[in-house]
Amino acid sequence: MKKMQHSEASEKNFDLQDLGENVTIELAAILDDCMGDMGLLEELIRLYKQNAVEFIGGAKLFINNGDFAQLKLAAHKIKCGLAMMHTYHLRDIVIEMHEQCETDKNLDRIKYLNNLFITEYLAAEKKIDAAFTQLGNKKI
Amino acid sequence: MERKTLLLAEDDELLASLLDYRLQKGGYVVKLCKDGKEVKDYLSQELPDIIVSDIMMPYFSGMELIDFIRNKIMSTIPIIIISSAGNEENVLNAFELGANDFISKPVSPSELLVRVSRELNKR
Repeated sequence: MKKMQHSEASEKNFDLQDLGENVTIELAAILDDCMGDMGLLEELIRLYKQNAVEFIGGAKLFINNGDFAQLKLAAHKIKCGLAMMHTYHLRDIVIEMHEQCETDKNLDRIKYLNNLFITEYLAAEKKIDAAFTQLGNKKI
Repeated sequence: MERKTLLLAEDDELLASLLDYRLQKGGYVVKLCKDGKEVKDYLSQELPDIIVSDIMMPYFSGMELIDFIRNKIMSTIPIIIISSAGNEENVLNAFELGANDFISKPVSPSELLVRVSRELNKR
């Protein structure tokens, strides 16, 4: 199985077709970090999803309020978890949101990136669930 | 052999869960604090053998933590800082304040274990 390459989404002009469609989520490396403990991996996935949902909820509010400082902080905080779960394409979207909050503060671009994040996250979540099931089957 | 105590200050529950698990498996007694208030409360009661801390934390940043340890408590216990890529200025400041080592997010648990062990062996 091919690991996801974060360079796939490193271009600043994100296009839906260029992102997660061809991405494969490989959980084996993360399971290695968990020393083969499927329970811990399941907990990490739960926390990953919780962080993403909180980010999506927070981002909507901060965008509506034009609160770039809070959006920047939220983007900074979620970056590590997105990379941890090897969803680099989501991490790259968030990095640009973070940069936008620091520099251009282009609300239209930020809204676009936020919608892109939501779309891509939902797709990634399905892939993570499928990869987890597959990994569980292999272990059995 | 006596197990070493490690203070892990990290507000990202996802990363903290993984590191806590691996550090405990690595033989350390881990005190996990999710914000600066918990860190201060803990440090007012005891000192760990080593500290691993994020830079950006609510209430009490990693920088304030280093300053607190080095200049208020006057302790030389090893401090390893965790920081996101792109925070180079913060990392330099952390070293100037007295941090012993730095590791970039997302943290590899195996690498962290090596670095923790290395810092403890220096003493």
